[in-house]
Amino acid sequence: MKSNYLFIIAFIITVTAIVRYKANDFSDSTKDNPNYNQKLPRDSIKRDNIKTDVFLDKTSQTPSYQYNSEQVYEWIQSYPNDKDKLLEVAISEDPYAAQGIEVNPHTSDQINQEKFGAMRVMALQALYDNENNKEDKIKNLNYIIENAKDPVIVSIAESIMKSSESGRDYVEDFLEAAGK
Amino acid sequence: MGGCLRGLIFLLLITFSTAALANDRDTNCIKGEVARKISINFRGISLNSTEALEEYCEDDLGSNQFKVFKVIERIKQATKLNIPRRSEDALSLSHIDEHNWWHYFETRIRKIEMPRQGLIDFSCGTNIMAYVTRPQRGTVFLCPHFFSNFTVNDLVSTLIHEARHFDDDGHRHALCNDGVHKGKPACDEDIHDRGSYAVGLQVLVRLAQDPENSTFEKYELEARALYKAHTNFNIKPNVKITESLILADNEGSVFHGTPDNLSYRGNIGQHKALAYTRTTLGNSFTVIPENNYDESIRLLPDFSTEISYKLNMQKAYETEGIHQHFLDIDFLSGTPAILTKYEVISNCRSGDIQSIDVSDLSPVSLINYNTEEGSVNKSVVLKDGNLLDVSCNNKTLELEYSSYRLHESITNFGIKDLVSQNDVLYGLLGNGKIVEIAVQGNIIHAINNSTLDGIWKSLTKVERPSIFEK
Repeated sequence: MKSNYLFIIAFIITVTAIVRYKANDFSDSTKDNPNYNQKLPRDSIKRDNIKTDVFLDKTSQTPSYQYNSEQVYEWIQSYPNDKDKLLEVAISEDPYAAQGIEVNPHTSDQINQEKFGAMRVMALQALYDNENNKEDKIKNLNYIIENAKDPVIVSIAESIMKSSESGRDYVEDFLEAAGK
Repeated sequence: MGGCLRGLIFLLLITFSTAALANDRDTNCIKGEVARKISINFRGISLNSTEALEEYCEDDLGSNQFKVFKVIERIKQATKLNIPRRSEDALSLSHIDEHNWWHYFETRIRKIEMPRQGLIDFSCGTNIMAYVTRPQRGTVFLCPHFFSNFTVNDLVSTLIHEARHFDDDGHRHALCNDGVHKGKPACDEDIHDRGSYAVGLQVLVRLAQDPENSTFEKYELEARALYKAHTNFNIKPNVKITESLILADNEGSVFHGTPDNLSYRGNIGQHKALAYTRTTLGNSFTVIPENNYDESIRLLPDFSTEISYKLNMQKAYETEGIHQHFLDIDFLSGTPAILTKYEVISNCRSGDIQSIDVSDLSPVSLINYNTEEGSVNKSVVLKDGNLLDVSCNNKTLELEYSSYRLHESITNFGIKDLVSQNDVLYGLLGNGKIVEIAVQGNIIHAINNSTLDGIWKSLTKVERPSIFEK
């Protein structure tokens, strides 16, 4: 009897999932969007982001990170008082990698990871922008390139370095190109 | 009497508290008109009420729906930013009119599918925020994690990213070659493909320009965009710089292009100076009219639109006779710097007008030049041939000056403008001629007559950085 109930519940869940997957929502929205008229190749009709390795058997884990962005921002405001702390932030490791937590695309982890990364970028930028002397700017960049545990930060620092060699500000150029 | 006073104070306190609460409510709620427009445009979310309210707050819509309304409202707000930009700009993605994120979003998304209570959506897996499927075009499925502790800005980027999957072939993701997502489908191959990650990056930068955001939020959004650029693309995005020149003659005819290929772009009238403006609000040209009474104007890069333009230091400009004594304008750390017969004036982004007295030095013009060390110097050219370097201190935001440098050979004419173009330095002399210039140590001198024949009033360099163009 008990197994019958379990079977019925499992059946309902399966049917609901299939119906939801197969449901076609073209019915009343084709008129307003010119793109709806596009024919799609059959093989492209796949789920955008379905993950076979991400299912409900895993629980959400947000790693602890010893810094928070408001605090980092305060240190930037008081530059150079907390320069050492900013250097520490800039070279710090991605907390997900440090704690062995897998990050999957389209997840809240991905956004959190990006926000943690943004903290390190903010510190990196401050260590470049707030130095008036070019030698000090380069010294800070070199320190970060040699010591940063996050390869993304190394990549950004190298781009800043390369641009500065030709008298340009990489971050300024990037932001202008991306959104202005 | 004391009782009356206490009563009055009590009433005042109540009034202030109520007003404060009302203000708080205003900022946290959505205007009724906006909420109704959103609810009409998107199926799956509704106002939960037949009564038309002046505004809708969290209590009226429920916390999850309210969050969705706030996110869509922000997309509308981002659209309203009046930022001058060029139609052919690098960021013009094929499907996006960047003037109008709202239009982009509403023509792709028709339904917001909220998580249903008691129904397990297997596609939400663990921690998935939102997803779309090709069979259900126009529907974005929100997962329970969409409603965890994220800011409205975070969620705008997520929704725009999903909307992009309805364009072209769906812009499916590629496996990342390296980095934090190595081996996972969290990359686009190349930013030039203009996929979902490119659009998500672009909207982060756009949101950073939204005055609704605090300075802290602006920094964070820009930093996120940079991190994303170096994380979500297999080919790391390069910033490509395209250089060109703008020349204007005494009659105001403007020519644009390279020294070998200039084309007529329009007429801006007789003017004292023309400066290319690269500010956080976008690119444009500032023109100081020849006469002493017209307001300075800002032109969009295509010269087609003219906007009345009040310089940051407009007050000083109007009251201290800058018009009469104006010599040149250029840009210093993203803010205008004006040279008069007596002063260099700038606010260095501090909000306070600052000046350096140059009245005893007989100034001629403001120029930019690249030093041998690779930095860009801003200098006042003096009549005796010396240069006075001026700068904004990044830390103190104070206007500063430093060394004198000598130049020779062109002392008799002075340099009005100095620009580099593909490693060649061009100088506009006081007599209106353009010559090629060489800088050796502290010495600047003319070396050749240039191919840019004619008598010119202004010479301006335009540098257009791009990341979306090959």
